[in-house]
Amino acid sequence: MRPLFLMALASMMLSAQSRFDEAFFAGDRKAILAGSAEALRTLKPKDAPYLVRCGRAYLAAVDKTRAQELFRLAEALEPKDGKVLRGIADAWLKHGYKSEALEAYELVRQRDPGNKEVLAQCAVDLAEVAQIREAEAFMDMVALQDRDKWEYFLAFGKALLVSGQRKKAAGWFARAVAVKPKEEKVYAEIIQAFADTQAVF
Amino acid sequence: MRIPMAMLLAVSLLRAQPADKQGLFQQDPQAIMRICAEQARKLDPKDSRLLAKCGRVCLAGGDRAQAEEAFRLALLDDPKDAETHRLIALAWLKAGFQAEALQSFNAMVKFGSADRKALGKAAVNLMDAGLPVDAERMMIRSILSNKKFERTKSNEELFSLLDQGPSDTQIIKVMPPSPVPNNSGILDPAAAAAHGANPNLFPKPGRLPGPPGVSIGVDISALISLSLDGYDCIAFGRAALRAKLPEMAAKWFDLTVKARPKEEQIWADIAVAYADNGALGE
Repeated sequence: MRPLFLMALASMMLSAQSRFDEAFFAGDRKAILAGSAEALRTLKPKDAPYLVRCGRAYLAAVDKTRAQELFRLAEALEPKDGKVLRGIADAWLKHGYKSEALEAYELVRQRDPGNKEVLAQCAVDLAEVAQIREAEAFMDMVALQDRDKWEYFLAFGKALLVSGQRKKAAGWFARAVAVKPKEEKVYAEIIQAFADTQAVF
Repeated sequence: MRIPMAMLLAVSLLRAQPADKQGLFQQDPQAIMRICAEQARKLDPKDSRLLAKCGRVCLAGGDRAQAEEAFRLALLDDPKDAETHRLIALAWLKAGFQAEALQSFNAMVKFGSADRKALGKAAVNLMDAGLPVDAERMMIRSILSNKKFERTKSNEELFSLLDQGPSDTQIIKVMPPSPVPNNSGILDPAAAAAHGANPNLFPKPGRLPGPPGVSIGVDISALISLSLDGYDCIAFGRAALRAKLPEMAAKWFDLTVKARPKEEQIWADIAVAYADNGALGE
């Protein structure tokens, strides 16, 4: 019965879609953020990754309390999912909450230490905001588990370029080339990294 | 963050790199890009998209002749690849050659295949370059490139935009709102012309007015009659936010939501677009 009720509520909410029109999206940013978050939550009330997105929207709308509530719900639903935990950490980081972010990144390291993809993403997140020591700790974990992940090394090198760490970036680009010296994509990605970080232009 | 001693030791061994390779990447960025471009070309000399990127490197180094040669070779290899044309246009744009960039975008439209993704990315590139009207036209073209969409009375105005042909694309800058009080939301062409704007930019009589503020671009509501994917509009809306054109972003997000009102990923992407103010990288 409850799922039916929730579906009916979702339909009602979205059929009051007339409020989500062009004027809504051209209006107050906080209202857009809150409205989008609620629309999303109505559609997926128990999906941890989407709850994290909702929380992020509330953080951007400067509603920390509501954001924390959503992050707690998401964590409770998927306590060991590195992707969810990283999403929470990234949301804190992007909105300037450094200590909350570092705590959340630590949870990723503790609870999903074998998830190389997520660890590499954590490394990139932290490198881009010049949290270099923490970033390298994550990337070292990845490299220890798999020395041949050149795509991750390239992404990390680029993130280091973003925060002006050219010397450190050089090390990771070198590592990628050492793994795949005859792969043209490696060189193309390095060119792109320098071009995109405006190191040249 | 506490790390066990054994792990620290392992890490220090892993970090030791062949000195020559690390030395390469500590050079001047232009030198690095040049060497990487040469190496990539040796490994795959006929990759048209790679050649376009190599051309970008040459432009960065101030070598226009070499860049043009790389672009020529790229198009010789694959003249119909829309993405190659786009990469060439982007190279010109990034190096500050706007006229050449628009010519390349025109060539993409004229000679390239109807590649929805490439056209959509081109629309974002144009928006990021401060050319919102051209960008929107390219975005409309991207959507209409889907052959399943038929030309009907309701979308005739949009299709006819594309009939005008690539050579009609103009370099158009966004003008600030007219100083003349204007409650209808339509910019007063006379007042705008006084500011040096091209009066041909503005909606012709019969088009719907835009929301209050700066009215840019066209009425895209006819697109809702098509079964849109929706996701390709998100990137464009983000770019509009990035370009500080919230009304244009609103128009495209509205279209996206109408196309897919119950798609959770659409809402997630829109929420994040506003959370990030459209920043690149999402």
